Amino acid sequence: MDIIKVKNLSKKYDDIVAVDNISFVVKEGELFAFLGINGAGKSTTINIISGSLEKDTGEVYIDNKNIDGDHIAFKSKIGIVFQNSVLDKNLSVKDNLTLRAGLYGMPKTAIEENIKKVSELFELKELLKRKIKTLSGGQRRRVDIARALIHNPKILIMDEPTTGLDPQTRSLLWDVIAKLRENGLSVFLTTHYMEEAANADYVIIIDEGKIVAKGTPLRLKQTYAHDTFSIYVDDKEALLEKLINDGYQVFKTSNGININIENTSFAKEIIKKYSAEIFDFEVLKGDMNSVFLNITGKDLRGE
Amino acid sequence: MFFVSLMGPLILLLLFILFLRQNYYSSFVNSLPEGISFANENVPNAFIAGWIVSALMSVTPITVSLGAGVIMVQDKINGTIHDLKSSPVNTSTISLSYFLATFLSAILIVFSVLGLGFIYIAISGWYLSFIDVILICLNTILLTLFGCGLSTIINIFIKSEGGITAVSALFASVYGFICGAYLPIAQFGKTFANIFGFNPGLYSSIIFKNIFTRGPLVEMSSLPNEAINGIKDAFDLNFYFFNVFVEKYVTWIIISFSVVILIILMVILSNRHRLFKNFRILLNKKHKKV
Repeated sequence: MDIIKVKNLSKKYDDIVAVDNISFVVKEGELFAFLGINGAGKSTTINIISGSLEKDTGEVYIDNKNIDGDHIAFKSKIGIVFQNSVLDKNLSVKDNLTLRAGLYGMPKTAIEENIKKVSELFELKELLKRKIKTLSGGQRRRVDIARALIHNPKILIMDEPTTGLDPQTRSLLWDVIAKLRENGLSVFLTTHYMEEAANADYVIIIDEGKIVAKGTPLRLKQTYAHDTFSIYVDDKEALLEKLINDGYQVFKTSNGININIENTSFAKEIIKKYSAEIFDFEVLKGDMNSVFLNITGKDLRGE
Repeated sequence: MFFVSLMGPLILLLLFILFLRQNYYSSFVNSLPEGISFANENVPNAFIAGWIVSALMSVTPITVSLGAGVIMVQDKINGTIHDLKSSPVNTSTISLSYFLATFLSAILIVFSVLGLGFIYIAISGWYLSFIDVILICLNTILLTLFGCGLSTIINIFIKSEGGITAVSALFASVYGFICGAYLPIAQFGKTFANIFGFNPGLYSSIIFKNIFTRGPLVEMSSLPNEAINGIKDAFDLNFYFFNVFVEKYVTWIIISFSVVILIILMVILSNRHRLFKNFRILLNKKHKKV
């Protein structure tokens, strides 16, 4: 079943086209990743889906209901984690959670119950009475996500939720999200981390407001990524010229040369031909960054 | 934060007392027919003190409301507004909440300033009745509501901190003149008086001036009517809009209606995107039928 359905969505800011006629669906229970550089249109799309921004044209369906029809009811089905934390720094963790739950009209007992549930999930029990301004970045992010889940939404939308987090917190968040997904939570994610996109069920790559590629990570890698053969040599310049003459696409690195190859058999050939000059080598399998780079010509690692 | 917010009005009160009080006093004396003097010097002092506090109270609710409304712009800058809009709460409820939050924080400061004003009046000569105080409080609430409505409407369109700083600075410097706080409107001439008459806040200022100076004027009842009217004209206690005398009850009606209109306008403007969209859909439907 489609939990989110977007049809021909467009949004302009004055003359700038932020989202240009995009269509996609998110299946129930799916981890859906949206990849794109800053300004590609990811946040605009998320804001339209969550109902905080008006679209120009197109249709958005949440749980099979057009958001134009009842523009209030569908919002209870969505929990959203914004790129920048929107917690009230002068309030305690518990107050932030209670206030958010209040916006959904939840009864007091349900609020207490859900605060207990999310604080257990995100290890917030000890932090409930502390003010947000006294928490670390990772702790705040955990509160952000707990807050987005306080009203038991069916969809969790996260705009670059793990940016700037330490690996331990990142791992905790993904463990919790994996647990929640077992209960049917659908997750719509934008990220700069390739390993997160690679773990998604479905990935869409957006560039300058347009969808430029979509599919499962495996399918995208098979179609767009290529392996990189890294070789380490003493005389880079001489070998670089020879490889170019052989018709390879090569890049100089600080301590060697990277060669784009279709598969490992090409690496074997290069080793055979230039074994005297190469003192070390490795083959790097094509990843999501390679997919992104090949499709858009832009490197996400620089973002 | 509370004391920082009080600093602006407090400095304004000190400026009025230190630099403008003497000018007002001279104007007051000049507006009297020759040969008239007061046995009790307290009366003109109380009149000027009342006028100064009325001037302070004509400006403070507007400037404080604009300052208190900054939170709305800050929420746009840091993205909190998207968070609120993504919750199942109507846009008009969000706008009204901003309006109420602005009002509550502004009224706290404005009433504190009013308290300081009352202390100054008590020192200069207290002639206010209980009813006067109630009416002053009512007018203070109305002008603060007006300021908050104005602030919320302006902030709907402002998206940057620079924008709100510019608007606040503009209001802080200009509003005192167009509501007749720094100088009586009568001194600007008829053309400006007519232009400034389009500012509903001016009528609140006239209400303040009339109530704050009513007691001292009663004490001057032995003066000829011509002299009393001269004072009233010179100090904006009488106001003429395109040569028509504005009755006191009309000033109350104008400021009250302005508040209602601003609140309605605020709700419409905060829903403008949805309203325009629905209107467009309606037009398209009609167009298809034709």
